[in-house]
Amino acid sequence: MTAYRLDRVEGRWGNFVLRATELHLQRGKIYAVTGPNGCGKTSLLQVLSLLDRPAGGRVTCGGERVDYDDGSAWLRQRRRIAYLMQQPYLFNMHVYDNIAYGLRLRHVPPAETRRRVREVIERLALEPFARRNAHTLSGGEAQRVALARTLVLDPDIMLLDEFTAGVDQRYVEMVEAYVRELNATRGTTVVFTTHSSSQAQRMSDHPITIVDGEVRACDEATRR
Amino acid sequence: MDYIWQGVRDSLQIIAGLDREFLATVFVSLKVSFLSTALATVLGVPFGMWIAEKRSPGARAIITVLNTLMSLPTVVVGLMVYSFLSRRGPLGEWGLLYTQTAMVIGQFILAFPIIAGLSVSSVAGLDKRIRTTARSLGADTAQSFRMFLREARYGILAAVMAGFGRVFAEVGVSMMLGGNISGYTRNITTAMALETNKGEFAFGIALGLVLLTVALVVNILFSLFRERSR
Repeated sequence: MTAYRLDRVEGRWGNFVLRATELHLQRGKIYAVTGPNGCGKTSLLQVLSLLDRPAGGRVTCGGERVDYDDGSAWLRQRRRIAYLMQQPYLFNMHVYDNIAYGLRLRHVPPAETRRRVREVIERLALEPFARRNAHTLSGGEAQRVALARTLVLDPDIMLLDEFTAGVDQRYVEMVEAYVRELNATRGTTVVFTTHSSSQAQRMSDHPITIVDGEVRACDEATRR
Repeated sequence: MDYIWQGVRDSLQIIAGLDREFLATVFVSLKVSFLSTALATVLGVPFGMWIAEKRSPGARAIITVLNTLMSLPTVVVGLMVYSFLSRRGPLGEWGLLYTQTAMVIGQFILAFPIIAGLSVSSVAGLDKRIRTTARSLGADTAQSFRMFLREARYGILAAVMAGFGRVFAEVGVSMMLGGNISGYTRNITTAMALETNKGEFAFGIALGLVLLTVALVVNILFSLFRERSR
């Protein structure tokens, strides 16, 4: 089963060009995107998040070709994806409301929203500051809240851009375990970027590298 | 000094006695200022947000003009609108001079640059990631814009308050365009000027106290609104 298929996709950001000639990502796998600064890891996630329309090529997500001009179909596809951006922004509201935001957009019933938000707050040890305004948090706390806001959506696909950056070492294990659990129990496809080769090895058997702007899947499972 | 204390004591009696003329004057002030501020908010906030998003030299020129107009003297606005609405003016046929509508028009011209200009500042200072973050969590264009507005709420509310403060306390426009007609266009500031000239010191102080109280209440409400989200 396919999570993504990118055919001759080309994305342009100023002078930088990212190309994915043929990339095939399977459902329920964890992919680690590695590479030096500026190689295009974040750009790749932006394409996969469907927020940035590539300059050329074809993107297929969940077996369905992405039509960026069909607003409702595009939104439906985007809502199956949860994307944790690098340096995420927390809204000027309580931590609880930040986490619940995506669920409310998806019209999840209030009781279910409460249950899921409480669960993720507990799992990521956010209780001490769950009632605080998100703008009063430290960098590491804010990163965990942003992560909770992504994980609570229980998406088909999760895109995590340096998801443990700034997080205390004692919480890194907790966060990684939760992501792996969602992958194992819910079959969530995970694509994450990291600078840590040890984290890439711990979390994933499916590395993706970007060399000179060309996205390369490094195992047979991801190369068609 | 005695006459001042006497004036304060008498003014409190006027307020407590709910004098009819006194109430009518306060009502005109509130009505005209709320209407002009509402109009300036409806047009000024979206305009300010739109300009803030633009990067063109034209937009920067408009921002400079807005900033300049923020300190427009009220009598200049009064004179300008008067020249249009007076019998010999291009809009003289409409018969708007010395009406509450004329006061609203004049006060709108005073409030608009303040509300639009301060909206520009508040929106320009917002984090650029707000809308992208909302979209990354599944928001459509309208929902991400609503979140953007929500994040700008304190700055925009402060802009509206500044606009309201400006028109509620001004006297030039109200005097020149309203004509200070008792029970119709006489508002707090024009009545204060008139009553003080007549030597009715207590009436002037009573109106001044209302002016200060309204300013205080508006500021307290704003503070409460801010505190609620902390």
